[in-house]
Amino acid sequence: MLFNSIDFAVFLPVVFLLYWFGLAEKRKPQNYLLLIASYVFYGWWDWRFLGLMLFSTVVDYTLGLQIHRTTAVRWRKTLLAVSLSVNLGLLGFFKYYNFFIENFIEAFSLFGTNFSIHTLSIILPVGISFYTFQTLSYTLDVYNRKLIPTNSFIDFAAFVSFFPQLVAGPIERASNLLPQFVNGRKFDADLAVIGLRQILWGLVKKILIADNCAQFSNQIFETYDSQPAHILFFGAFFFTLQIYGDFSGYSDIAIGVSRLFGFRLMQNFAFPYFSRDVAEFWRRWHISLSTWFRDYLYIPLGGSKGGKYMQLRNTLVIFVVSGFWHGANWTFICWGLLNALYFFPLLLSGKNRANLEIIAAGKLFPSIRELWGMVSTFLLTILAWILFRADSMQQATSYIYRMVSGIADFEQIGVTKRFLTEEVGLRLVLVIIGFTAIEWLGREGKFGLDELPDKLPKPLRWTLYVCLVLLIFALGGSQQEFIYFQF
Amino acid sequence: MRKFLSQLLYFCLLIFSINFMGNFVFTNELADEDLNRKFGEVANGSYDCIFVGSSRTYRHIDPLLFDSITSTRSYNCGAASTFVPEAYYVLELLLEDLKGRKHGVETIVFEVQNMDLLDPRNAFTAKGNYWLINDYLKLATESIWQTQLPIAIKISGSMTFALGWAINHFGFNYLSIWSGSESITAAHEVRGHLCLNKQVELGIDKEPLLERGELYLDKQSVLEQRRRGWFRADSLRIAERGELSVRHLAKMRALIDQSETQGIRLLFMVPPRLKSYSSIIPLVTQLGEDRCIDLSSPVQYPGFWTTDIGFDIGHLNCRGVQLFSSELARNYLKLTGVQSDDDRTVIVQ
Repeated sequence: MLFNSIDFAVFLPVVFLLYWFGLAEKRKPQNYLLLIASYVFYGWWDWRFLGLMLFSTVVDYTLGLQIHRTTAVRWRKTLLAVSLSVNLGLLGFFKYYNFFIENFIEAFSLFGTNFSIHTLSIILPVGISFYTFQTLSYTLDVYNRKLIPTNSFIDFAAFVSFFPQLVAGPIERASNLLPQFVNGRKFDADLAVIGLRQILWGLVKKILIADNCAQFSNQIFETYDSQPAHILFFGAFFFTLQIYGDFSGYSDIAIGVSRLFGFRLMQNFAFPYFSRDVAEFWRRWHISLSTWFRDYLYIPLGGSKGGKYMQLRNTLVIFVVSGFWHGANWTFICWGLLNALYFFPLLLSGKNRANLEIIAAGKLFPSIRELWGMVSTFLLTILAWILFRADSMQQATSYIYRMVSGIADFEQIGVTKRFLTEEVGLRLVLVIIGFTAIEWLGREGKFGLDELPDKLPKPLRWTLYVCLVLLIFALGGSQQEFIYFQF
Repeated sequence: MRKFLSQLLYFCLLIFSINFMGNFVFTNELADEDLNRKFGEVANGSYDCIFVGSSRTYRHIDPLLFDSITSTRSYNCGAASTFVPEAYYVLELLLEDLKGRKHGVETIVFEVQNMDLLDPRNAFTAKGNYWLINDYLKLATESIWQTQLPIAIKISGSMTFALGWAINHFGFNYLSIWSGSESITAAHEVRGHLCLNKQVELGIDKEPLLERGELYLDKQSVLEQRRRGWFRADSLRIAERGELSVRHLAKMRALIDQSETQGIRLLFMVPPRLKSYSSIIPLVTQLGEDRCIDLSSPVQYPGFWTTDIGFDIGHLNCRGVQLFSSELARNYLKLTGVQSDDDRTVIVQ
């Protein structure tokens, strides 16, 4: 079920009313309801994979309890290994099996050995990477004695399958989300209002920005070999906006919906395109995944201890694994590598934590230095997204080569001007400018509309909401599936 | 909680009020841009015969070929995905539009269709509900309750129409900018008609059309099922046990009266290869032979039921269109009592 669908527009109010009115704030029945609603939500896409999620839930629930009860170190390690093997095994089979087989065959064919191993036509279960990482965080935290496992299977199953963030995150830590299922929830009107605001802003990002930009980025990436360099640049630019609108829009809706049910999820995006360097970008982009890798991979690998070499090695590992997490394709791995390369100079010069505070905090405009940092980081990001969007390395390299080599070809400016005025049109340009302005003005909050409306008197605030709703319906792009569903 | 819900309710009411005003002020009665364009052509051109109906009118009737046999000047005002009540609505608007003008329209040929239920997904689209004003909501729901459908389907079907009506009045239709389809633009040059093969040649929505064509060739048994369905419906007519919709019959009679007061003769046309004839055949029987051109019979027109003249299961290819338009013209001449100068009668076998 898509957040921007009619089905969800019916589903959400029904579950909301049952949750708060039908069950009168009773914790257990509420958790049962959330569990059923989450399975319906997931089964709406493909009910056959409900069994897979249930299996993963049963395994981690059982192993979590066993790990906690056992004192023998060896046995605890064995149980953890079983949990890791099951979770990563399922993920590996559904997501990476064909990739490994194809590369295995190709690698050996270079040495003249031909294998006849067949690939399988495997359907990738939606959100498997997200809920697998969520359950992994549970067993790892229990193993590290950071979390006491729950005895209630229903609470645990509701935590794993919690529908707002089930298919595209944020990837919640068990230590944050699980206690919210274990403890009761009281209706908090302020939290619900902020939740609705965040849902509205998420829909603006998805429908107004991402879906509108998608039609141009898709068209340009599909016909890249016949497009002039400047249009290729705009193709990458539109994809840069699309992926932000799409993914952060989903996160906003997920967090907003959770708030309606009395849950507080972690912030997943913090205005990443206003970052002054790549390190800051990665502290602001897909925060739940970055911090997951930091806590469960970077730190166990040694983190920053052991000198610069170890720091570089561990950073490289994180970026490559992060790229691979996104998909079984060399383009994602190279995207991770490129980001690591962006990161290394900052790490070596010790400037990777230079920009921790919000850009131009308390001011209306950034300084020239901040602006330069922001623009240069944005351009580097655009370049990296080409790898992420391309279907193959051949397409990515060819796209980048055509774009870079022809950038000084000013004879093509007429074509680009026609593309911008006749195809893209002033309407979309104004929408992007308006959206960027609201994001900039709201950058000190958790999302664009977090604090900004509170500064306005009620009539103006409601006018803003009404305008946004009407804009969504008037100028929204054609419905596209969320990009991150495929991961 | 109460405060939160009341605030939310006020906000929704505000949006609905704005939408109601927006729909009232900005929406054209004929929100379908394709039909708007065709209406403009009917109003400005000097036509004496107009065809109104769904894609089976739009795709199957070639006005130039029709005119070459009947010596009329006709125009195809059919549009794809036109629902039964929508077709009534369009016909009423057309009659209304002609009322205030000097025109030469003598005959309107109106396609008889099955009364299908509105798909819930269509209820949310402007095309699916722009015609759902009070009268048509009543007509649609009454029609459902006169059928022999199970009670649950009657309830859900009525609710879907009610939903479409609500969206037409309180939804965001007035914000949709209807751009019209490329196929209608192409059809504009040829009296509002575009054969499906011709559309493929022009490359307009080519892939989905070709897929439809391939699916049709893969599942030819469906055509045979439909043919048998016609015989079943015909046997019910003989036994006088057909599913006559009194509501539709009344509507059609009202349309006949309305058009006759304007000096226009309303004829009805039944196309071949429909999904069902169980409600159509009794309706046509009641309307009388002097008003109906029934081209559905596999006995009289076996040629319309062969695979090779189909583009997809319900639509004919260009060769089928030639046969259909010619046969329609021949029957039209019979009904209007005019002898053709051109003796090109096409025998469909």
